Amino acid sequence: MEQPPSRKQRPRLRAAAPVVPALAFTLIFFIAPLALLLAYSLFEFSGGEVAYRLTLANYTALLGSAFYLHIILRTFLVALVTTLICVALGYPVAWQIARSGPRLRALMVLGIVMPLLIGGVIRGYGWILILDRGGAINHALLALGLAQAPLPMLYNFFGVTLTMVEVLLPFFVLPLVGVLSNMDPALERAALSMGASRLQTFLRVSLPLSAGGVAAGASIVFSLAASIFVIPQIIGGPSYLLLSTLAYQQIGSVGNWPFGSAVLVLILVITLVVLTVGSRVVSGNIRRLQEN
Amino acid sequence: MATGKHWLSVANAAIYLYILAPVIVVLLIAFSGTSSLAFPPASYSLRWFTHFAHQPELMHALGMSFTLAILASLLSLVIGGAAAFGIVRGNLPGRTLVLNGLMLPLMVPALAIGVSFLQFYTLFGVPSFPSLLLGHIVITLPYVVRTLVAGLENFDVSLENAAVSLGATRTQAVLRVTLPMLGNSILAAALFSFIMSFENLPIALFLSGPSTVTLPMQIYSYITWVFDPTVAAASAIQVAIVVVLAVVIERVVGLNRLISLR
Amino acid sequence: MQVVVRDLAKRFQGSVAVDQVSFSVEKGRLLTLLGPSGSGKTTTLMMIAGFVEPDAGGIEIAGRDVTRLPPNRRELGVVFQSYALFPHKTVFDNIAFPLEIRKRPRSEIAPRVARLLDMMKLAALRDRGIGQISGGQKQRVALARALVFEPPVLLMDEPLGALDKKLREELQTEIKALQRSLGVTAIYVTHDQEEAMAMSDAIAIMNDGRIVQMGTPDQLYEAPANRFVAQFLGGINLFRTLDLEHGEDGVCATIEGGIRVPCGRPAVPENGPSWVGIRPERVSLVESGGRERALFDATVIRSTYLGGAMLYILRNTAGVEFSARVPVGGARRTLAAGVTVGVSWMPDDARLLG
Repeated sequence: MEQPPSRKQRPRLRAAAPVVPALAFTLIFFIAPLALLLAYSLFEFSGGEVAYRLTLANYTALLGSAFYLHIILRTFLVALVTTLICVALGYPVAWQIARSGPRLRALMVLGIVMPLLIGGVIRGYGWILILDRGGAINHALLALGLAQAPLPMLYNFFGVTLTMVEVLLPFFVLPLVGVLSNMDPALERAALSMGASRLQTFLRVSLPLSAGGVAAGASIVFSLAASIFVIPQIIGGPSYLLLSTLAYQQIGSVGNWPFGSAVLVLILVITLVVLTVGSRVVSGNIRRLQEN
Repeated sequence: MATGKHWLSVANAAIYLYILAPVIVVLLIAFSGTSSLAFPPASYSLRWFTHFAHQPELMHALGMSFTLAILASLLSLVIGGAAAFGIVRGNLPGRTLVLNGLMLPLMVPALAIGVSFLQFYTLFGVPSFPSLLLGHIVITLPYVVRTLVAGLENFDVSLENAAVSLGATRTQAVLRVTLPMLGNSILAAALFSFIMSFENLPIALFLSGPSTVTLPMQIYSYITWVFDPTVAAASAIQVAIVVVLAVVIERVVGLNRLISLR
Repeated sequence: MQVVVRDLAKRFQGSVAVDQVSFSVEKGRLLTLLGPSGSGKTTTLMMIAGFVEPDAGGIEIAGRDVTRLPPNRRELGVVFQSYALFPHKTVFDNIAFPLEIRKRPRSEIAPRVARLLDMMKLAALRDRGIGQISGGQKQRVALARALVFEPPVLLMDEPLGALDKKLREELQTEIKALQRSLGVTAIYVTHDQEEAMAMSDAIAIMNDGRIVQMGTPDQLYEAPANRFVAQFLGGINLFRTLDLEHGEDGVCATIEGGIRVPCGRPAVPENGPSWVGIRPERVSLVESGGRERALFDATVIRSTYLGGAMLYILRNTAGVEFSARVPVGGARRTLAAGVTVGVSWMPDDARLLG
């Protein structure tokens, strides 16, 4: 196994060569622009123009005003509620996928992934057709006499959360399917054979053993819920701003690149923190599972 | 036991209806016979597809999305394929670090990527189309790397060694044994890249110029300004393309392996 | 009868997994379901445990019809092939689980678990995680966990399948002794015929979803009902029979090559025998044309040393290949390939098989 260092070094360098283009590409066209975004968030904005002087004013404005704090809290609230609903709806779906035969399994995975692939714009459009004042639900409610006037379901908490759950559910379900599939189904059977009820089996065996998958999915859903843009833009719009739509408004409409950049940096920090914490929990849990 | 499973199936069917509802509604409206967006449509026809075909800006956007998605997939396949090979076979120092670094764009919100590109390309004066393309490659590259790394890791190296022991050179072995056997992974990576590029809005939102509008971008501006089912027809076409590709991927490697943030 | 299974049937996607399976087990006895993979033995066990719903038939345990009862109300100890030990719990907590589910007080749980830990020689491992113990120890924990709540019936699904041969033999003796001393009724599933022979009071041999034959180990070995049982249990040489005569000294069969072999007074299969079967270890090899009268001559093709015995593969004049297992040692010399020997056996050792 031992090789003289001179012979070992050269093949190593040669072996690294194929990685270089991708690394260089990522560095130049991904990291560098992000660094620029960070820089912009530290520039001054005065008189409708970007002044290239360093300042923390954008951040103090963002974190110091009641209006923006309200949007930050609202973003957290929507993300939290979305995550909780995704956990509640996603667990049974993931369980059934993991415990199904190959055919049903493939069909269910396809069904849950398909909307994701179709993209936010079309689904946002679909939700408008469903939730609008003249949309499918209000149409039905009025026709059945269940409502006197059309219910407002767009541009508010209800609409944004409802559509957000729909968009993000696959991100919770898929990692959990992975964990539940790796779990020996005999573990659940063993608990049942020893007299545990279905609920006891779930609470004392399945749930603790899949906690890693739940944490992974939940952290992904939360980070995406706090950062996705297309659905909040179409369903929430300027009248129900979240952090992402606020950033877009600042950059696209107001032209305040520095402040918009600061909002984006905040979103980025939230995303990275949640994902990192989530992955810590997950790797601990997976290590425990592998001990078996 | 049986009844418990029965209730689970009913509950899950309801959840699936919820997930698929917006797409189903769009598809039905696309076939509407009237110009009203009321659901369900009073009658059905293909007129909005004909209408779509006669809208030069929609057809142009469709072509633009195709061009972008194909170029982005091919280029990320070349760069990402080489990287995956280096990562799995190269015995690299800091292998995990390299892999995590290449996965980073998945963790960064698309909006932040879009805005940072806008700032970056404005600074260097890059024209719209190349900047759009580079932006899309940033989005698709991580998927390609991940798919091919997984494919290469599952590949039994002893097959390649067997070819060498039978007299092939290492390059011949890679070309004639490894690559054909990785065909499924490569196809999946290409199709998935295509989809991710094809449906992306946040990048185009900031980088599209008047002549480089993509289909999602066009649909997005239509739903804000135009109130007839033409845009539903445009959406139906996008859905059809994505569904066909997704079914192919599912057949070839299984979709669930591709979608996760890590 | 502690367990009664009546006409159990199960189909999976159109193909028959289990068909008309009936048997019963007396209190305190161990019955083994033995068969090749895909024979329906595990499906049968899972139906008794309640994890697979039978299409037809009934299951009675300790006089109670449990056919429609969910698994958690059947009061059965089940040992799974994969052990199914909970990886998030210690050895102690795994064994305590069924008692905790039954809401027994802590003061009762601790001594009961301790007693089983002692019995299974696991006391030193009580606080270990499942990842920190060996395969054989996991096996013992799984068994302790299945027995701690004193179920009247214990089900075991290939419990030793994942262990190496030596450990397997050790645990066979242990499980058997434990089952005897606790007086628990047990149903055991395995594809290993030696294991089944060593452990069982009774064996049900399964093939293609049906029970082919049921009996004590020696009944099955000495009087196999058909070719499948004879071959699956111990292996047997088969000679195609051309003719059968019933004489005063018993039956005499004519086999391929026109060779006449006496068969004693065997059971004659209903639809007529087509084979004479003889176990390899009941074949004796004598000097060709020597004093002892041989039934026919055969040539040694090759031999394998088994340690204590030689296994010879021979071919007779009609071209039929068969084997003989001959003890080594004493004055016996081993035979080289190419040597022609005389072949004989006791008429009563021959079997007529359909």
